[in-house]
Parts: sequence; structure tokens; C-alpha cells
Amino acid sequence: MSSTIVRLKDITKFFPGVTALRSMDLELKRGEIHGLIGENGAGKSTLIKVLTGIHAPDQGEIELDGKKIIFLCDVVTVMRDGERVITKPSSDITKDELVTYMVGRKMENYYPHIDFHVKDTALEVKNLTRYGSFEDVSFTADYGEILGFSGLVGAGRTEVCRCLFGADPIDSGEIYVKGRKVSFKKPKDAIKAGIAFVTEDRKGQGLVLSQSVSRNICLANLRKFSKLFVDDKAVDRQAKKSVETFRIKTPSIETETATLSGGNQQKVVIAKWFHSDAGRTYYGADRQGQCTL
Amino acid sequence: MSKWMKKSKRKSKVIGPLLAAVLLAVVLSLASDKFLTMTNLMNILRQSSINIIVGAGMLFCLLGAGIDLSQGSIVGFAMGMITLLHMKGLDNPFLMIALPIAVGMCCGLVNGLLFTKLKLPHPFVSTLGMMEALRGLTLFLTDAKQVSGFPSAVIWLGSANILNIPVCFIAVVIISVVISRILSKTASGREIYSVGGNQEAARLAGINIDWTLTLTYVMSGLLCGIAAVILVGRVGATYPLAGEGYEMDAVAACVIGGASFNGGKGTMAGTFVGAIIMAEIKNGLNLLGAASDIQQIVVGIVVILAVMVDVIRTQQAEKNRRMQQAKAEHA
Repeated sequence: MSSTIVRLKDITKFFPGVTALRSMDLELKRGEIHGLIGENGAGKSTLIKVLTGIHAPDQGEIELDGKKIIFLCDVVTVMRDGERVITKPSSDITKDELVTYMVGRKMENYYPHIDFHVKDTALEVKNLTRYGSFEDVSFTADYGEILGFSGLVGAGRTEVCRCLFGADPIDSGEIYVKGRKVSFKKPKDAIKAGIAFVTEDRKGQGLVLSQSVSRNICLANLRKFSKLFVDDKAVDRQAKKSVETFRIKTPSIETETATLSGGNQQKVVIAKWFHSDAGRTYYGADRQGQCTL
Repeated sequence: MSKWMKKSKRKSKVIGPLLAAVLLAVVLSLASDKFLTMTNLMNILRQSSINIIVGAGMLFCLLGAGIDLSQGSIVGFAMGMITLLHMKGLDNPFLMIALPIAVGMCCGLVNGLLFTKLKLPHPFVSTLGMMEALRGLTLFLTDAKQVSGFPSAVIWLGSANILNIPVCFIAVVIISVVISRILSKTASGREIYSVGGNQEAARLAGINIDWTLTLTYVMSGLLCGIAAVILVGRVGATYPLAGEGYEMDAVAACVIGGASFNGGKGTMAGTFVGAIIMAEIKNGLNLLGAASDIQQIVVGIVVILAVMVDVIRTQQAEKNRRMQQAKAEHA
């Protein structure tokens, strides 16, 4: 019995206007954990979808023994732009080399040094509790500071941020914004106090997918443009400026946000918050556990 | 450029139902030589008027991912106000027109507050309760009386003609244009679409969900009040069971016109055309000698077909969207 469970040979996959996979080879051996590594857009998801039958390849073969595969790697394959760059045992490759293969050039500095001066306290949280989500959370965040929260899934980071934003009620504890005690009953209160919530769940909580880029960007400040009727010229101006500032890749501001790529969708969400009351003053965001003020 | 894109996007949503309406007219005019006469066409306009108005009200609720099952009862209750005024000897035309409309609005407000403040899972429950309660209240207050003989000013809206065109239809066209502007050009209108499109995203962006949804029910009630005034003119009398089933015809008109139960999708123009199509069907079948139950069956089939067309269109659009997104991801 061969040790190879699955072999993908010469897999090529086209979508209208783009080649997602280019003569991709992959061999998965029994008992081996194989890591598939690459940047966004390298083709990892597409390859997996071909492997599991969601997409049919336009070219190539799949040989299958019918077994399941689990995570944690013995061997890694790096993909870039739909092609296999290299396959190596994970013991034989360094993190720097991996990144170089993924990106196509050498990365000199992961965390460039930024000059930082501590300013006034923007947010102070004391003994915050929400039953079932988190208990006795306290911290302060200052202006100009990026405060990171790290923790496993379920640790309660998103839950804390949602409560800070007035999206969920708290059971006990105190929140002070700029030294003033606040109690948020709904998101609008938090926005007025200068807090925004750039959610990780952009599709479910960040965007109205069926609506255009323009409508989504002005979702948080539409009332600023309307006395009796909405001033569409001003709304479009704001949208066009945002597309420029945030370099949102979209055919037009009338394009449905559902058709944008994930990264550009997130840019639309950020643009929306930038224009909100909160964005005007300071900027609070939750993105995989980071609160920025 | 984007202004043109916006207009053409909206127009493309109505093209489907509009084409269907025209096609239907062609088929019916071939099937019966009585169809394409001035009298008959004016009849169709007259017969669709109330459904367009009530349909507009339903559209507001559907856009917010809700529904108003009490519409028929609100029409009946509003009409009951006219009966009450007459019973009290207050045959003032202004009161007889203003009170039903005001009462309709109040009923809508109650619907909205019930749903939002009691935090009910779905407006089906609250509007169903209102449907029953209002009908009972109407019968009680009016003593189940049928009344006729109102001032001509009161019945003018529903019965008069200007240059052979029914006034009620002209009024309905004007109202439709106003509603269309409200939905597309006001902040509240756009917020309704956003709330229906993704309620949580709208809430997190600071939009007041309770207020927005309550507004949709207030508009529904208001439009039902207007429908009651048109109805009293068309029938020449008030009757306690007025309006029964109106909400169902309204839903049909909205759905044929492209509205979705999921919210955030639908237009006034579509609802308008949807109501016209329904009137065309009933009118055409009538001319061909079909009984009213047959007419109902056909309308029912058309509603199902319209939903199927919409579902297929949505699936196709979703597929195109995914391809476009895959393209965008790899660009």
C-alpha cells in the first residue's frame, strides 16, 4: 500500500478573467501533516475546493485513497499566484524563508519602529462583567496608543469590545470615556462618544452587502447629508474621496459591495467608520482582538 | 456617470414586471376585443387603485423585513370612523377625510410600538392580533351598520372622473410618485432599505432600528386610511367588513413587483406595476367569462410564478457575484 493518500497533478483552474491555479502539484502522504502556505489570493482555498469537489479543475488529475487529513505540519507547500513555489519538510525551512517564498521578496522588517508618545487617557474600564462572556475586566487606553488584546477564541475579546460599543449590555462595571462615566444603551450612544466598531465579521455586521459602496460608506453619517432630501452629490463626493484615500478597488461607487474582494470590503467598512461621528474624533476598532483609540 | 448608473439600476428592477404587464395586455387584447377599449382600460386603472395604495403600505413593511397583516382591518376601521361621524351627525367632509387617515396612522403606530417595544420575534404576531382586534372593534363601534349618503366631497376622490380618467387613479399616481421619492431620496427611506438589508449592520452603524421599523408601520396605516377614503367613494357606502383580504392582495402586488420577504428589496414602481398586472388578470378573465374563483386561482399561480422568477434571478445574481468576487480576490 503506497504511503500517498491524495495526489493532485497538474491542476489548473480558470475563473472568468483570472487563472486561480496553474499546473499545481500536491502530494499528501499517510500520517503526514502538510501545511499549505501562501498570501491572500495565492490559491489555497481554491486548491482545497478542487480537492474536496466544490470546484472541478479545468485541467489535471486527482488521485484519492479516501482518507481524512488533520492539521499541524510535517511538510509545507508554499503557493503564490496559483502556483506551487516549493515543498519542504517543515524542519528544513525557517520562518523568514517561508515569508520570502510567500511574498516573492525578502522582508527586512516585520515591525518597523514608530515614534510613540503617551498622551491622555482616552478610555478607562473598571471591573466590567457580562455574565457568560467575561468577568472583572479592567484596563486603560491612552490617546495615540494602539492597545492589543490577545487570547484564544472564546476568551471574550470581541464580547468586551461589543459592550464598549453599546452593542450588548453590561451586567456590572464602569466605563469612562475621557474621564467621564458613560453608559451606552445602543451603538449610537457610543458613536456619539467617539467609539467605532470595525468588526471582524464584515459581512454579517459591517456591510449591507446588497447595497452599493457609496451607500455603505455613508451608512453611519447619512443624516448629515439630508435636510428634506439626501444630498446625493455630497454623498457621492464622500464615497469617491474614500475610494481614493483608502485605495478601494471597485469598478464604481455604485458597485454592490457583495462583489468586492474581502480586503476591499473591509476598506469600505473602515471608510464608513472614518466618516462617522466617532471617526471624526477618535477611532475604536476591534479586529482580531486589537482595540485602537 | 454614477447618477446614470443609479437610474438605470432602478429602472432595470422594474423592466421585468413592466414587460409582463405589457405582454399580458397584448395577449388579453387578442383574446377579447372588449379589452382594449377606453372604458375597460379606465376600469383597470380604477380597480387597481386601492391595491396600489395598500400595496405601497405593505411595501414599507416588507422592505423592513416585516409584514402588516392588519391592513384590511385598518381600512375597515378607518372606514368605520366615517360611519361613526355620520352616526353622530357630523357630516363634515373635512373630518370624514382627515379622521380615517389620522386613525389609520395611529393604528400603524400601535402596530409598530407593539412589535418593537414588546420585542416580538416577528410582526406577524402583532399585526395578526391587531387584525382581529380592529375588526372586532369596528363591528362593535359601528353596530355593524352599513351607511350611505355622504357629502359629495367625501366620495369625490373615489368616484369622480377628470377628462374620463378616474380621479382615484390620478391621486394614486401622485401618491406613488411621492412614496417613491420618500423611499429613494430621504434619509429615513434609505434607512428602511439598510435595516431590511442587514439589520445588525444598520444598528451597529447607529441607525435607530425601533424608530425605522415603527415608521414602516405608520406609513402602512396611513396609506390604509387613504385607501378607506378612496373606497368609500368607489362603493358609495361604508360597510363593517370593508377591506377583508386587502393585505393579501397587497403582498401579491409587492411580490410580483419584485419585493422580497427578506427585506431591503422592492420598489414603488414595481408594486404599482404588480397591482396593475393583478387588475389586468382579473379584468381580462372577467371579460372572458371566467368566474371570480377562477380569477383567484390564476392570480395565485401568477404570484407563485413571480416568486419563482425572483428566486431564479436572485440565484443567478448570487452566482455572478461569487464569480466576480473570486475574480476580485485573485486580481
